[in-house]
Amino acid sequence: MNAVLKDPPQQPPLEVHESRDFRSYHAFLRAARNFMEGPLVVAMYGQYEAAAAPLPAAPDRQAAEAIMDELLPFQLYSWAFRHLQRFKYHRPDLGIFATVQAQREALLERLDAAAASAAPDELRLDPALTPPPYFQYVPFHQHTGGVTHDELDGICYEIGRRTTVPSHSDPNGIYRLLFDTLPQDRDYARVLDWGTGHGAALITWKDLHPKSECHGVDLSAPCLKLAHQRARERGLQLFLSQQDLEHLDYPDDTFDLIFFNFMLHELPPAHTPALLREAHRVLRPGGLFAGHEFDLRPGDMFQNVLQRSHAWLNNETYSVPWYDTPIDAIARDIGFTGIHIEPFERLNRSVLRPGKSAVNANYWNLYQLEK
Amino acid sequence: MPPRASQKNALLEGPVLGEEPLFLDQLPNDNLVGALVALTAEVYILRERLQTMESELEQRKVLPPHAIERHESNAAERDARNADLAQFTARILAELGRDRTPVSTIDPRVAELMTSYADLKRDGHL
Repeated sequence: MNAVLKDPPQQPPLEVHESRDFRSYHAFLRAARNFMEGPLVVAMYGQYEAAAAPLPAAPDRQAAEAIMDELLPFQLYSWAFRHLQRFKYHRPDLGIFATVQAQREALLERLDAAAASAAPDELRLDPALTPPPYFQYVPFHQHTGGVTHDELDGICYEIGRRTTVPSHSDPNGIYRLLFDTLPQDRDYARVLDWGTGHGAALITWKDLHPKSECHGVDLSAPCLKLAHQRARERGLQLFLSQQDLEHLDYPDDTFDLIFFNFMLHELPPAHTPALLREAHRVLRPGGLFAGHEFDLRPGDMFQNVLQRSHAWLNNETYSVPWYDTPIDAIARDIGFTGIHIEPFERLNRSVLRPGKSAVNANYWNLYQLEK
Repeated sequence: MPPRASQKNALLEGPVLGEEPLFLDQLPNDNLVGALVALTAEVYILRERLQTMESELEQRKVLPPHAIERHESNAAERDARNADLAQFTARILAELGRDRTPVSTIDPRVAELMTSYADLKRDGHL
């Protein structure tokens, strides 16, 4: 289907020069985030427990929200969750945007050179593609203007990711955890990264499965160009295309595996069935649609309130209706079989409290839908 | 459409479509002073190490006595320092006077897409 290169040409690495001060500044922001997600959550939970204990019954969500809203740690957490992003991107000298823009010419020259060397099926960009309104309405994660408005958005997003999941010393560890959960006895000859962004997950897959023909789709041309650059740096070949996941130009029954990372919560329910239907169409019979996603831990109102707060704090706007979207029912209606949705325990992080039960701040589910 | 984001409490009730909310309306001044004192301690620690470094450099004759105190910037350095000072000051003090316009804008039409799956199904949209 695609021309596979035995030895794809290798590009020298594209690196953003990060001054000592940049590194110190962002190290501090990471530490602030770690504090927010660790000791502050512990303090918050202790106060929540104390406030909930005298109640005649375990609080429902509204009661839990009312309790949390009065807790100073929750107020601080909310401020930090929202504004550390601003500090990360917008400091006039050491913010990500300013640092990357200061090196604009050199970075664009490298990105464009790599893009120009791509074979037509390796990097298919569509300048005429209009992102769907749901994508345009929300600058996810407060990335000002979204990730499609500036040619350097892919690079900014890649750097920003480092402080989104700071607890993982290997930023790609999260993808390996997902890949480890897939049935190991299958031949994933052709795979699609559903919303590939800057390609980190797809490159991780390709490293682990060199014989896989690896495709990635995203709405963001800047992200795809960076994905292509990063693949070339490692001498890897990917087939990247700028498309709407609801209208893919792949034939029916193309892929053995479609994987995703934290995509479902970025999609409004009005579009979820159509997006999954399209994924089903391009999967081969027996193919797998698999990924991991944020969810609300059943019966854990503290975690639920905290998780839901991220929707408004960090422009994960569609995640609130996502939490009530019955993916299993939608998948069954579409024709998926073998629907497995279970807690992704290896990824679920608990905040440890010596001598006490751990606190669940985040919660993920693992999805495997078979065609 | 979710209710408007509260401007008083930290718990937001929808996407931020207008001004930045106030999260810390109830932050006690005692706590602010505590953070200031903690930061001042850190600044002193840095100051003391700088003093020590100056002293060590002088004692080991890497720098002549009072070199730091007597350092005279040339015109270019003075200009650079002044610019740096202005930016440094602005960065800190700008936080005090920052207006409440969010740095990223959500299109208010997002409200049209916030309908739950159950409501969409009920109303025949899916």
